[in-house]
Amino acid sequence: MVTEEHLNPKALVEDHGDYLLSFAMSKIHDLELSKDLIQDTFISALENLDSFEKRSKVRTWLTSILHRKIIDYWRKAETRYTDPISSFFHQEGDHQSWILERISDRTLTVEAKIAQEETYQELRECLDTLPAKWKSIVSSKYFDEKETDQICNDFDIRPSNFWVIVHRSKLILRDCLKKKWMQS
Amino acid sequence: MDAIMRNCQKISENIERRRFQPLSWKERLFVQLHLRNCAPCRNYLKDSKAIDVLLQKYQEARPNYGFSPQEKQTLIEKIKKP
Repeated sequence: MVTEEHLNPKALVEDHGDYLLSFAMSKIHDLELSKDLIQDTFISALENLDSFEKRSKVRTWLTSILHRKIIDYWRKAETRYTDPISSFFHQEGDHQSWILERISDRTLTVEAKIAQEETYQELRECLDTLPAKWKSIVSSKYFDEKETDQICNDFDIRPSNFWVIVHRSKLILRDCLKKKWMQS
Repeated sequence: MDAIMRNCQKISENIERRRFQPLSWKERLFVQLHLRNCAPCRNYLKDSKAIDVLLQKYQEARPNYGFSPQEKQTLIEKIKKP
């Protein structure tokens, strides 16, 4: 049960700040902007405490607020740029270098970014359905890129057991993703 | 041959293991023979590779960032209600 003490500014920042920053950075790759959006997120959250349902998780709630802010940012960023074809025919004065456009990380359209983000979100949800220990083992192998021996040591499992866990985890992930993708 | 076909479980584990460790020649042979005759394991191999790619891409998209203690303090002050 979430109580008031989980929802004060200090607790929100300490408990969720780093997580939200990683989340934002994985979407917009701009550290200063990410920090600004997170500040806005916390302010919105604190102003709308009554919209938080006590049954849900604080982190899920904050992430959804941040996510909306990121999408708003993408929409604004996209409308700031004119259609490339129209600009070709209407060049007056100095124009912005296409190289600048290229490196400003706009290789994906808003829709593609949202689709990619949805895929990752689905993967996150599926990873969450794994037994906790398996999830940690898969994360150690794939995300922390630890050596198998090290993981077996950390989790006190035999190497043969490790491969069984990887295999079974993948079966769970496959079924979970299949279900999600068939729905959409 | 029956013994090879019966053991999809073992083959699947070896499919995972060989990404990170070399298999013995016997294990390699068993995997090859088995895959040639077993559609579910071939599908598993394909899906397993796809999941690896997905996990890899996801991993690249989620580097870890954090606020410094100083930044956290500043942030807390900023979001406190006036």
